[in-house]
Amino acid sequence: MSIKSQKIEAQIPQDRAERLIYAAALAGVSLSTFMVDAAAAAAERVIAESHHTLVSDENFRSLLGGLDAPTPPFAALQRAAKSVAVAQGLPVSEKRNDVGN
Amino acid sequence: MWVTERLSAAHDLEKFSCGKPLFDEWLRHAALALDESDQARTFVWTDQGKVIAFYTLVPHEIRRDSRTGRGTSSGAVAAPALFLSSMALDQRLQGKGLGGRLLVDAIARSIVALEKAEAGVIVADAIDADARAFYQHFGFTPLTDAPFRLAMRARDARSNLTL
Repeated sequence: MSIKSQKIEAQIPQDRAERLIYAAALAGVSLSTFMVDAAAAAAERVIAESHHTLVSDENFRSLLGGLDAPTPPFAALQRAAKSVAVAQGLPVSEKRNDVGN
Repeated sequence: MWVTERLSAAHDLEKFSCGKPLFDEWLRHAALALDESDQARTFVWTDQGKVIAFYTLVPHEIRRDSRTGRGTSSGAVAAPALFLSSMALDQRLQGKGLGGRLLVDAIARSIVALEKAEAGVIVADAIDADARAFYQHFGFTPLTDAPFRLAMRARDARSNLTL
């Protein structure tokens, strides 16, 4: 079974390309391997960050604490909700949104 | 009239252009694969099969950095969340106030998913300063630790939507 692959081209400034070639040579791998490995590592880091957000104690308290506190009015959100007319009848899954007019 | 649907292979994505190539590429090349592997859910608005708007929700968690502060009285260290990782309208629909309606769609769906979580949170990532201002306008608060990541408590979203 063949493994599908995709060709990705990138335009980079000359000086940056020279640094990459130099670094790849130091690491003892091809430029292509160096770039793909580095990008893959960065991608995994970004993807991991999409799974959780680490917040300070202060932020955490404001998000979790005060559950009895009055809810602030979000006027713009309320207006948008009214205009969609989803406010009545949540959940809205697969509901027709009257946004075409 | 447009319908919100879960992204599928049947949707025509070729013409979608939101002005941010990153989002266009994401929708065309990655969104469906991540949906099929249950890592993310992408929902679309369609017009005769053509996608004209989309948003992506990813399971997420808010974690307290244990190196800071004294913690909550309940001792909680994490809260369930949904991550609105991307959201965009086709350029033809921009400037008509539809972004707010798309956000309401995404928030409403998030509320349903977080229904059982008393302390659920909706998290959004802003691609630039304009997007950040957009989310703030609708009630999201930037997190001090990550200024382009914003949050809204699900209970606040719920009470603002159910008028």
